[in-house]
Amino acid sequence: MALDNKTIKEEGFSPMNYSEDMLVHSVDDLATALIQLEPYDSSGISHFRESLKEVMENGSFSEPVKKKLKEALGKIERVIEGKSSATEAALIETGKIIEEVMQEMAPQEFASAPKSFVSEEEVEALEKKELKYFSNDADHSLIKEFIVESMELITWAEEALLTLENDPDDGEAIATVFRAFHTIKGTSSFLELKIVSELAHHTESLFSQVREGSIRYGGGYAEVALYSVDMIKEVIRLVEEALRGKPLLKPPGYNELIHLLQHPEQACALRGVEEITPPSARLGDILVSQGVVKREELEEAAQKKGDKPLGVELLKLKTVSIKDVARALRTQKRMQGVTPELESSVRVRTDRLDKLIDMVGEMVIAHSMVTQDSMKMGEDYYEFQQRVSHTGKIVRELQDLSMSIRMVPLKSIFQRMTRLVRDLANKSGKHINFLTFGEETEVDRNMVDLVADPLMHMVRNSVDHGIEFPEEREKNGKFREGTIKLSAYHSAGNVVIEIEDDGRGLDRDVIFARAREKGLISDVSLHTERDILNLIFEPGFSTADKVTDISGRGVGLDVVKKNITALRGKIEVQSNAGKGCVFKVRAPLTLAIIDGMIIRAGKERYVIPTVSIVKALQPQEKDLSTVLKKGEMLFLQGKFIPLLRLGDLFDIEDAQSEPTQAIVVVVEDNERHTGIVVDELLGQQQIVIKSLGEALRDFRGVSGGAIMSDGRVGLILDVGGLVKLAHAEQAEWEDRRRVKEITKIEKEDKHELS
Amino acid sequence: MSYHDDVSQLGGIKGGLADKAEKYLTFNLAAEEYGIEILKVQEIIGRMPVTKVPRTPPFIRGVINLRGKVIPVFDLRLKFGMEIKEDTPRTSIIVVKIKRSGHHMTMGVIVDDVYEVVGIEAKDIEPTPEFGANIDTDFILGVGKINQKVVMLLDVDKVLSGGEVTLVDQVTHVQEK
Repeated sequence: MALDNKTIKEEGFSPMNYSEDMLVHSVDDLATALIQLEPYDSSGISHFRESLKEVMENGSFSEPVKKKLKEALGKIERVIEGKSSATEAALIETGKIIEEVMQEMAPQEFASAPKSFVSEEEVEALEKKELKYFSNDADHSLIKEFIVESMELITWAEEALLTLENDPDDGEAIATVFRAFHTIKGTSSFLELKIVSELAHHTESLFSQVREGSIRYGGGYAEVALYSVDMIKEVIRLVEEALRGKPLLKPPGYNELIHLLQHPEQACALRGVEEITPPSARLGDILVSQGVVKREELEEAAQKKGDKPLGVELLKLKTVSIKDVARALRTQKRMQGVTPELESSVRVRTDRLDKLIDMVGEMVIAHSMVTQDSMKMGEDYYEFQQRVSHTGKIVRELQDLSMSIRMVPLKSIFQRMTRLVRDLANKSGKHINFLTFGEETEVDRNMVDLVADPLMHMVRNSVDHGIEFPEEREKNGKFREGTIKLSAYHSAGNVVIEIEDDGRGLDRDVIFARAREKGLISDVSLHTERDILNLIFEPGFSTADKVTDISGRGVGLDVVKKNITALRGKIEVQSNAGKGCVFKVRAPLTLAIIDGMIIRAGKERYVIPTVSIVKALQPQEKDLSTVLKKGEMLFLQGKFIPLLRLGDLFDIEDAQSEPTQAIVVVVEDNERHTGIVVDELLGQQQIVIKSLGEALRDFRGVSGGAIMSDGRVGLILDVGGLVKLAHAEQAEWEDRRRVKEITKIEKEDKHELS
Repeated sequence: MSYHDDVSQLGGIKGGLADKAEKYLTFNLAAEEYGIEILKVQEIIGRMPVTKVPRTPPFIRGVINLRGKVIPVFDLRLKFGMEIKEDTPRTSIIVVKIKRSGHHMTMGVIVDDVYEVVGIEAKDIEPTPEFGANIDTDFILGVGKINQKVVMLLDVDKVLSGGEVTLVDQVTHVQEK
């Protein structure tokens, strides 16, 4: 969006406008031509007359200048018509008039500027118009890269600035703008593009003041900031042109803007243009009524925008300048009579938060003990009991609150995905409409980062292999534009994230064939549709030769699954061949809390994460067998499962040693099952995971601690470790092939850990 | 904190002892008196239920819930190779903060009885006597004298860190094999 005259005039602080600037050149040119003119050169003189006429017609002049030019024209005309005998004298007189005109115009150029805005030096700088801002030995490819990068950053900054229109205290948005200009400054000064770096530097300073809170974004500051964005775009456009050999000049209004950026308080005095009351509070209508955008352009933008704000789309189409959109947004806000809702926030160190959560947890336990005591006291203490139950409500509320403190919306990764899809789509030449739903869904702070990676992988997958090329889509009777839908919602204490595309879907037969080829499945009949589709998550399903910069279908999906499983989550795929597929990830809201089954062995209590429990049963004698008098096995649903006696393993006294008298909890890790022999199941409970501290890290068998309802510490069993332990023991009597396989698996596991 | 490490590395050269003059918390362990620099002590708590952690060496009693935080508890008697004794009402847990490879760790040590906080002047601290190869005195900063009594001044960082954790690891690995 070029910086047009209108924009500058409206700013009120730009003294020059384009046409006048060019005129000075033209009058200059006239003077030069006149000096070279010889009295006998009649064709030269008549040519001069034409140029003079042209200048007069094209330029807008103040009345005295017009008069003078007319006078000069009259003199020349008389010479040509032969009415003036003394050609030479007439030319000299004309020269004088032109000189006067030049004098008349030169001071005017600056006189129209508010005096305070233009300092002496800047006048000087303006005069030295031929200053070079572009070194000849500059690396063109680097500059090209810089241009692309900068335009991207500016787009981000624009979006952030629009956010700031509605919420001037949005720290994230301020930081985005700041970073954008900071990065542009850094790169441009490295490339010695002084014209860019200077502007970026001053804009950055303005935003660092906003960030520090010494000034509040809005009013005149907003005007200046928006103008800076427009200006830096213009400058970068000029840099691009300079690459093609054009001289790099400061665009009009540049120096004034720099000055304003240095003294932003002056900008506060500036007011926008008078407001026309638009017919409705819709952004588009406001823009149309302000005459910035045509109705047709608006319709076009509205169709393309998807679920993005209209203003952002208009910016993308380069139909409007960011300043106009911002002003329209402000008008809109005023019309709606909405006072901006200020969400104030405080940064708190996470360890303090964790401590708070710990303490609240303790309070809950302490309170439940008091409650139990108060129950024992009987009816005489009725009032006391009431007070205890009242505190109970407060405690519960506090507990909920403390849990929600660490929660943040998924918005940030959703935005990252939007960006990713756009980039990938551009790269691959596919048309993709990316929709997001439920970005306000909250999960634990840590989860956000952990979910991001697998999500990114799946989104890539959908773009690369789900969505077909436009031609192919058309052939199959689909819209050219593919749709990927990313949505998140809470369900039963979990967060569910779905990635749905309307691409080609998964081919059940291909997967089946591939899986058989890889030896992942042996029998045909045992597998349901769902089982087959989910084979794509199997390690080794994908082939190495398909690994590209972008993903291959199936490549790395095993890693995705592993990552999700590590979060105690689950992933599933549903597909409708030719119509698209849905990846569904179900993960806990937080890593800090798990559902645990409390079990007893001897006098000790342990917690087994419920998610890894397959079933619990009391085995019968006939299902038990020993191998070589060593390994114990349980025959369950056609499979032998190694048994692990917790009592023996942990040296627990009085633990039940007879499996038939005990309970076998069958747990699963990495598709491998193991039976853990325990005395009793005590019940299920939500528990907060605590680390056992540095000193007791790396213990196989125990993964952490938890505070139980009586305030004591309970240990959480490390199912993965136990399963490995059991299988390692089993390996002693299994055949060599099996041994090899396990060590291989263990190696892989170690590899992943490292 | 680090200068103590330096000092002990010098093997108890007398000049370094001046640095050790500060306040110590003294306690009883099998009728011997020991001291821990007061700056390392976070708090003293009474006996509380300890959860045993399986597959750890005996001197690790287990873990306790210290107001919502799970911390390990060491039995100093066992650590020093003394005989096991039933806990008494005087038995206490001294919660100390130690630093190991840049990490701060909170741990508890179980002692028979806690006495008092005393300031010990440099002139009253003697270097650790050599007992020959059989007795490891690496974790003793020096020997302090208070009113005719002898107090072993412990370097808590050394007592509860370094070798122990690796030892713990070894024990578990041996068991697995």
